[in-house]
Amino acid sequence: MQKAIITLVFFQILVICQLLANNLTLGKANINGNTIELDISWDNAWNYWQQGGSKDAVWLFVKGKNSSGVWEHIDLSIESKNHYSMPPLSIEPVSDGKGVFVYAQASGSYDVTTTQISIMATTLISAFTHIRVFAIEMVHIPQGEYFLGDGASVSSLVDAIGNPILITSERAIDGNSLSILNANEQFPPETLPTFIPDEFPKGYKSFYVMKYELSQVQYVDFLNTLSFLQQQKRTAFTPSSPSGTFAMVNPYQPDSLYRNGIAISVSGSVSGTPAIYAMDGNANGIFNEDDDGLHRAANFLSWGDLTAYLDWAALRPITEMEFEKICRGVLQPVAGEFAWGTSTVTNANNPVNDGTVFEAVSEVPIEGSGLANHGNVVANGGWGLRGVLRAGFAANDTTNRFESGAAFYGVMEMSGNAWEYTIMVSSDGALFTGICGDGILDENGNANQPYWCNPDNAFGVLLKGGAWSSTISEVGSWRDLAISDRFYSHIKPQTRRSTTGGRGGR
Amino acid sequence: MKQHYILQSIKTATFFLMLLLLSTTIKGQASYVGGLGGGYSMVEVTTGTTGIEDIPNSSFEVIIYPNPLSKNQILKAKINGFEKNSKIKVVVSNMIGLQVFIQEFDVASEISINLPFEKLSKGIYLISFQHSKNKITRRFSYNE
Repeated sequence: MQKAIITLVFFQILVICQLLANNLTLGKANINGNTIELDISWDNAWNYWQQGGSKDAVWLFVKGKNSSGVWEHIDLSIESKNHYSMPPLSIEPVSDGKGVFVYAQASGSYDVTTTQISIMATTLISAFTHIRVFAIEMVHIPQGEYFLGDGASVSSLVDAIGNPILITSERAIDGNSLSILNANEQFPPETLPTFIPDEFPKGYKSFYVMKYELSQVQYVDFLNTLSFLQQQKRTAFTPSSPSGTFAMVNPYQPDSLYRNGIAISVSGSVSGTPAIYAMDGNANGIFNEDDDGLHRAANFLSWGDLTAYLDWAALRPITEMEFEKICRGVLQPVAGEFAWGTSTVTNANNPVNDGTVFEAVSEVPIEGSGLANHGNVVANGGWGLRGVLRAGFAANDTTNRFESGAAFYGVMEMSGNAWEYTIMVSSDGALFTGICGDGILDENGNANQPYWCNPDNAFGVLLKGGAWSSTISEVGSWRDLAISDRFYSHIKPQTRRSTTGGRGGR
Repeated sequence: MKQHYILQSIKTATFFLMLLLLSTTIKGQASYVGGLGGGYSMVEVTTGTTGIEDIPNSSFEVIIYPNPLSKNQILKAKINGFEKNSKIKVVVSNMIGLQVFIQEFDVASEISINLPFEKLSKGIYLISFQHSKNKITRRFSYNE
């Protein structure tokens, strides 16, 4: 029977792969009253919503620079009639007005060639001197049952008798119905909560998640809308540091970049002028070159950094339950499985077109294993690639789920590249209600949404999915990339590490 | 023995047929491909104007026209914020990264770029302008 399930999984993977790409582009923007007209395109969008599958969509949100030089979030109309799109696109407003989703309306997969859309703001746009429109590709995960836990991984979640749990609703869960399997003997796992309320996002209801890990250029654009004080909190060096200073890396090891190229382009001043940040991934002192690694996953992010970005972008953290739903989808659990649904992995270790929008690797996964950027110390006697790769590095226009290292619903790099912060099933984490960011940080640059887990102490936060340095041992042992692994649940991940990044949802 | 083998073969064939049917019903859960960049883009609009700019990471700005470009047209670039008596390097590459044009110009408020049309085919091209320590990349489409 187990063989039959594995074969079925393989068949499903073969059937559902499509020839898709991203190449998301905004352009040709105009302002007309309170309406922003702009062109948008991306390659091979997909929409399988009517078939019970996922669809991709673009989260659009707007910031404006006021006459005092401060960037503000601009709310958009919550009524569909106030937004307009040419076919094949459709615009879906959100109830809090913090942005809109743009998606391909018709079923199937196809390119969205340059298409004009217009979005209406609820505030007076002419009051701002500059407007920036931001676009993030997301995946809409459908509502439905899924299994939590793989029945094998270290400190993984199971039911009271040790089996994976079928999640069938968003209803509250009694803590007595949960237990921890194969508890970490070296570091005792975080204890489970007595109760998980209705409001805690459990992954049953539909939700959006970023298709890729947060990229370095995304973080640069975020920093470039903050005040000096906020920048200071969200980087490792004061914004008044000299031009060329790498902003995120360990101050005590400033030359250890681990492929992070976020740098100060123009120094800020202690009198309050913010710095301007840019990318210098090849470390040659010239900013924003084609090979400066703009789209590499952002590493060196603390929990405070990630949540600040998500609050600013009007997104939210995802929970560890949602993380497993994204990866496993409707399929049966596989012991020790990675994001692509099997328990074997091929290491991505040799970049080609390094640092460019084409950055990929030369490795091809062996049959039945997925491609991921992880540690390689055992096989090669060294760490191999010491750092992160481009978000979406493994996927091209012919890849299947294994080759792209994708999760069930097409989300990329859920295993490997950078550790991802999630809200843990724990007493602190269970307070999380799924509330989204409002686009506004506190004056110190911290997220300030209720129950998002404290940005400084990170109580209730769990790192999932492993990173570029993660080595892999046998099923049931140290296995960072496994989607149910909770080896590090005892850690309060407060600090910036060369391996930590993440993504958000809504 | 032979009957047993035939029975097994029928069972196997039936099993795979069922798999195929099940697979068909689950078709279209997601897609597993990707392309350039990282699923992210941003544009800036200065209010009161109709143009767009990339992120102002540098002190100079470039606007190119005409866009789309047709065969034998001269591509022009308007440049603001440059350092006088300096050079600007222009590189044009196609979407798979192949460079089709590289030339250094004396910087001016407007430069004319004679592209080698014999090397161009219909499609999207990236044109980058490197000046001092800064670089700006624009995109244009070429219609034969």
